[in-house]
Amino acid sequence: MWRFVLKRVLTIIPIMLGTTFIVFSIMSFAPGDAVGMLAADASQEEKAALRQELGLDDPLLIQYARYIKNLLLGDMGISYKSGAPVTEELAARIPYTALLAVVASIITIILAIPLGVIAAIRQNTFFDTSSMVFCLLGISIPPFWLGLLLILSFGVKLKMLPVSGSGSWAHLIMPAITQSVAGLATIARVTRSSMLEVIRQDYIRTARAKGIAYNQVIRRHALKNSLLPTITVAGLQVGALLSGAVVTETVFSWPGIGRFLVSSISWRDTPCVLGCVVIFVLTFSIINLIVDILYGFVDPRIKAIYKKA
Amino acid sequence: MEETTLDTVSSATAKKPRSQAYYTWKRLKRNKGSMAGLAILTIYFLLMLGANLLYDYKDVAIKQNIPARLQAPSVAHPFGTDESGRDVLARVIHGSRTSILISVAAVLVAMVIGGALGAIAGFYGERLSNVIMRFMDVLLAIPATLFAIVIVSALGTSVSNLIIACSVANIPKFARILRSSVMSVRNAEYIEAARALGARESYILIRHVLPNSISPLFVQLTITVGTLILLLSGMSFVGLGIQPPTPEWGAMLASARTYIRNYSYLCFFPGMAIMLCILSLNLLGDGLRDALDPRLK
Repeated sequence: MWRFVLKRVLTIIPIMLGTTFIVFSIMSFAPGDAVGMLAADASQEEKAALRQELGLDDPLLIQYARYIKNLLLGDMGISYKSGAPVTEELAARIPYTALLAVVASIITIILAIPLGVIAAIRQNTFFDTSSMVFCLLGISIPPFWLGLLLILSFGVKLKMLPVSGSGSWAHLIMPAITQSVAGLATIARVTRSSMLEVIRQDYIRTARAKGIAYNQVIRRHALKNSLLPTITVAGLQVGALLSGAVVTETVFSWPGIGRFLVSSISWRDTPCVLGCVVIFVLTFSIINLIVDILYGFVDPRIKAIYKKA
Repeated sequence: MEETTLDTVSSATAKKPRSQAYYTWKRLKRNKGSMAGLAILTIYFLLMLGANLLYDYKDVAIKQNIPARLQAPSVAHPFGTDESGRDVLARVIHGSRTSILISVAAVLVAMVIGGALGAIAGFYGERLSNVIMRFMDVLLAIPATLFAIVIVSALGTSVSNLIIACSVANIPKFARILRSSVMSVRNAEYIEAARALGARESYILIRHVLPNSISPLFVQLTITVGTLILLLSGMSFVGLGIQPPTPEWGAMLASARTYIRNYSYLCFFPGMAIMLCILSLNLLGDGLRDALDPRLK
């Protein structure tokens, strides 16, 4: 089993190098130049000297290698806008994005799995139909619109919750709901359809025939088997949460990385943009890694493949 | 001579064979949700085509008319007017052109490139497949929204850049789907037969393998159009997509946000337009998936 984990951990290295290289090369087309930003008043010769010093004349691959080397040392460059190190700028914002993502994930998982399971075991009842209509609406509603509707009803009309900003738990409620609805709906749909497939299997019928109570059959036999696709989708949804942060944080003026990314783009602050994207991409890869390893632990068939290898 | 008699005999005894598409459509027609989705999409399509007949683009959807600004919905302006006095209904209708056309164009680009890569990876040997699919894995490891944002922030927010941005991130999905579907077909007996008859590999791929493996792409196509409309409007909402004054649903919501306290109707209609469109695409996609599933036949 540990060989499987090790193997999977090692595959993340080329993926991370590949993704950061793609992002790095695309960003090299970005408008705005370090020298123009850092030394706007300098003469042509001084600018040329600075370019040389910063290594901006080097080929892309060399620049990329230098970026990765610095990244491993915890240096992501200097923000054009504030002049502060990018790592500092990011460190101030990561906790906010992480808090929002964690709370939204908890809401998603806690509600989505029971919703999907109950809808499946009560197929074609009122509960099933209404929860599936809710899920269909959930995957169709644009999160920024949902955010605006929440602000309008709970913030502006009912004055129950603060409309934007951060600082208290009350500030967290609407962004967290906005962030979680799409994932909740997707995971509930997947759980329901995989549960429906599982409860028609022979081993479920056997368990029932042996006289085990229905609830116990569902809990002990069906649930475990039906959660496999759910884990995959849940992993992907956590990734979607990260990029969803861009929109949600903008709607609620939440001071996280997503909003910082948008403002860095409008300031043409390339090192910060790159820093935000690299953080997102790396987190996404690590989440995928965890999901894959989890999958190996949960599904004996996958474990078996790696044992043979 | 003999052939004609055989023909008449078979047509007299057996039912005329129908195409796969015929049966798929028959199954799809039974799904009420899908039909509702299709009906709504048809309305969107007709409005898109007739947008200029209903409201002039320059005079009504773009031109500012300050005296008529921020009027509540009325008979003259069913959806009200915005902060520049433009009719919101006219802008929602013209906005459908922007959102839907860009998304459809991006999906087609992604489907053609991703499909071609997937078909090649699935049909030709292991080594080529490995190279293509590892590259796809890398692309897939970047969340789609983020990928699109990176491309737009580097290249700018022109329509062609937005199409590139929206399509690139979706190429791997199409590649994966077609690859696995091609792989399930490529060892079928009729492929072997074609090969035995001396057909070229490329001919076999295009004439025999593709028509038999392409149907899963259509489900992905419908669902991806919805995702891209969402992506595009989201990007416009944060200011990285379509720029004002061009009417686009997400951009309209972004400017409506400023007036949410007193003119909340401005936030309602563009959002409703996005949601209805995506909802009907999802309904159609769900139905299409069930209709194409041979287990339900």
